[in-house]
Amino acid sequence: MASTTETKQKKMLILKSADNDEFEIEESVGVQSETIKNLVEDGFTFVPLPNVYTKALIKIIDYLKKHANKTDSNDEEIKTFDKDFVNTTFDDLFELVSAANYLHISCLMNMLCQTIADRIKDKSPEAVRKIFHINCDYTPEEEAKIRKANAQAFEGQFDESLD
Amino acid sequence: MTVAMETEEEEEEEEEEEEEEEMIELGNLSNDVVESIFSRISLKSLIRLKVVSKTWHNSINNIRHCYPPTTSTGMEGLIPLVCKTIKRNKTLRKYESLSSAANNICEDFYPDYGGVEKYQSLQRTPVSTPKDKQLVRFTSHRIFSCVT
Repeated sequence: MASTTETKQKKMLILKSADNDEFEIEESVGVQSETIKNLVEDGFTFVPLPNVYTKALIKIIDYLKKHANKTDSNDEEIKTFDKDFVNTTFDDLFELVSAANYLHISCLMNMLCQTIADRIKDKSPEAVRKIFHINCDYTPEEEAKIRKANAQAFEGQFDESLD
Repeated sequence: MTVAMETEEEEEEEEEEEEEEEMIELGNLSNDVVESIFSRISLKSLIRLKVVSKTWHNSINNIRHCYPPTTSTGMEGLIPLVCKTIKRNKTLRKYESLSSAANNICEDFYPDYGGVEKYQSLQRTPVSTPKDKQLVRFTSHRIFSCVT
């Protein structure tokens, strides 16, 4: 751990979540986020994050800490960590992906988007609506028309589960 | 078959433009996040997801899909080459139709600027499209002349 942070002399940052909780992290950990990096370059050490709630921020800080210490030797460990990280509910994933998008953490963003994509790609439109909390604004006639026009895409059985 | 599917979709888009539907929220995620997710889903699954809501339908029509290299990798020779060209031409055509859908969305999002946007796009399109179409036709002809 010390080896990666030596050059930065362990400068610390304070992140403040939308619910006013404050977290102290090393600068080298925080700058993996482009948003934080830009603020740090402008001389800020206190970073308010009005769009990120504590629950998501704790997980994201965990992620950043783990990935800040990435070396060849702990590659497997990080893979396991990532797997556990995305093994959660859709609502948690959505909160995390919004936070990662706001913080501009591209590797986390990629991982979360890929996870969500993989998990919804075989689901039925009805299940996807429930997962994303979307109200269908098509009339039954309009929906039937689209289904008919794209009949090929609606052949076969789809996953109706919501997890 | 897929070409037929596309033309029917375009017809639907036009109908939607006429109705001038209001935009609704994309669930609880921002537009760019949803589009980033869509770009990782296969085209077939995406077509199915168009019935989720009208907003999703528009977003799916707007994404720049990163095609997974399923058909063209691992094969060599003329047939994959032809397939690839056809696919590329199809994408080009699709992009043309997508851009018109995009203008429609701009109008929905920014009603104040809508008139200007649309006017600009009207001025722009006649210049660019015939050129593109000519180019597409030319390349596909060349490929097929090579086959025969």
